[in-house]
Amino acid sequence: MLNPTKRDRALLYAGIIAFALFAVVPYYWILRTSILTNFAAISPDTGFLPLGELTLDPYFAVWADFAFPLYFRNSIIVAFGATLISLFFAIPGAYAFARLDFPGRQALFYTAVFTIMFPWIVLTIPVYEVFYFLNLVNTLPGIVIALSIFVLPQNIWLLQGFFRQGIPENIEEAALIDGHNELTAFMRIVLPLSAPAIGAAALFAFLTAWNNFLWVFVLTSDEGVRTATVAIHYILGSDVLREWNTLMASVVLLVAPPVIFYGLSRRYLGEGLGGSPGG
Amino acid sequence: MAQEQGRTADQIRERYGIGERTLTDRIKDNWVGYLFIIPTFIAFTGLFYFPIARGVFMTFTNASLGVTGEFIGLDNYAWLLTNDLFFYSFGWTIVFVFGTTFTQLGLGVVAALLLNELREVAKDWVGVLIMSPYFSAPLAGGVIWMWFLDSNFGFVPKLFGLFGLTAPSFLAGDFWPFVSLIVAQTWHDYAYSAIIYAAAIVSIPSEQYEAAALSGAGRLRRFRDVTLPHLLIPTIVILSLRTAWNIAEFSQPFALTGGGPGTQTMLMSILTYRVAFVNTNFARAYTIGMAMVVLSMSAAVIYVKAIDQEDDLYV
Repeated sequence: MLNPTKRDRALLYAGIIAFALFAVVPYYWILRTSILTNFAAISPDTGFLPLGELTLDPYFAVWADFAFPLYFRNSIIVAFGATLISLFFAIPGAYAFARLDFPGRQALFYTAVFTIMFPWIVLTIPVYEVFYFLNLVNTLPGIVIALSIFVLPQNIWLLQGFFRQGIPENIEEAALIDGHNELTAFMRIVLPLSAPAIGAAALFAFLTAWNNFLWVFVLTSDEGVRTATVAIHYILGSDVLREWNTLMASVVLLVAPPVIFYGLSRRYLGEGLGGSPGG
Repeated sequence: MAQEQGRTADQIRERYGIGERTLTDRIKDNWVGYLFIIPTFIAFTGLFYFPIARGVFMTFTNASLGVTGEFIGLDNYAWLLTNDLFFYSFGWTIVFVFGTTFTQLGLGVVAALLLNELREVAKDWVGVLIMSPYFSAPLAGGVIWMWFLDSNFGFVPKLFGLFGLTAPSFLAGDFWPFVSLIVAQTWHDYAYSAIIYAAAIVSIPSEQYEAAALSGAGRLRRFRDVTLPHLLIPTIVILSLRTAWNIAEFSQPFALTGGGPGTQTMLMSILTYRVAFVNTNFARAYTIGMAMVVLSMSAAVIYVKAIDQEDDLYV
């Protein structure tokens, strides 16, 4: 007979293992396919843990067979651009929401809440129309603008939470007494103190933009401006003989950066990790 | 009267207790606030307020790609209410959202409670593993599950084979595609509620547990009387946010079944996409979208009420 504490521990570990398996086994399956030869990937005889048939060739084939250097380059460009633009808007906005009081703040804040919960697919329609008239469809600047709206609300949430809780109010009061005004107090005192939070928000924005499919998919049709997510969708849908191992290698390359970076930064970001719909 | 003439306006206000600042005073005092909010306001106007208003106006016209369209009254709504596929996708969306939201909530709270029992270092690393699906690209999530469930090459059918069973085809037939979509979506997003719950559980003061233990409360009792009340607001927050986001979910279902086979698993988000960008009928697509907007905005109202109760926002 197990005593109650031991039984509790056993139950705890069983639960943890069940969760870990549910979370990781789907990942494992693409990882396994991505390091098999093309023949082994589709052979019914290949086992669950095919240690004898491993190869890294698919990871080299990713770069040779498709235009993945271009797609990943586009992913990096648009994610970087969207991060910079959204931070430029989000930092002062979040500070105003968190610390400053002005008539209309509450109303603006609530509309901001509504935007974060608005179904993005619906918003793409009028935005597409606007971009169409501005000739921004099928261009990298257009994607950058669209993705920066996509990450703006979450950046505001993350940063306003930090400004609200992470910076003691008397720091600004002290700065005001020292002869700063609100503007210089913000620039000289608050901003330097917020560097880690802004860094976290930047990382988060970058990876959300990197992960995004909907906006790029809707706004592009040219191969030259595709990002990696959209390229994988098109390769899956194309009629060419599929090289599953190469395709899965590209999925691994797409999924690995956000999972690893979020994993490493999780403890620093805490509950701010809420984020927004993957859309 | 003669005395009052010597006073300034401020003194008079003070004397009669009407010293409250007027709106113009507050605006003058807080001009810095406006300075800080203007970039955000411009961005929201250009990319949220205006497009949303334009879209609502669009539903009364026959606008399509590149065509502004003419005013046609309520024709689009009449079309919507006579469209079988819309009602079908509406019903399936409700089932999908209900199913995913509650399984995500349930798995999330269990994961958070289990993780809370682990020691610090283990908690971090196991936490990373358990939360990892949430951070993958939703489109990749769809591809991953498509491959995981694939009848020929998938893990699950292979596992069935190990026990000499034949797996049903998970992405075809009358029943399994629905289950697959809900399970895959749960996999991708349950970590969101786990993260929120974990933060809520950590913030419960340990004195409350000690006091309960001292007064003789057992494990279950402590959970019911101490933990549960602290989880109420997070639960409402998660329910409303995840409801809105599951309604909006597009990429993962699109990659997994794309609304197929045929139109069998057509969610409203995929239907909106198809009408807008495959049929290029923007006005009708936004009309379908209005149904999604109404659903998610109801969730948003509940959310706003919930965060009003608590100052440290979970946003």
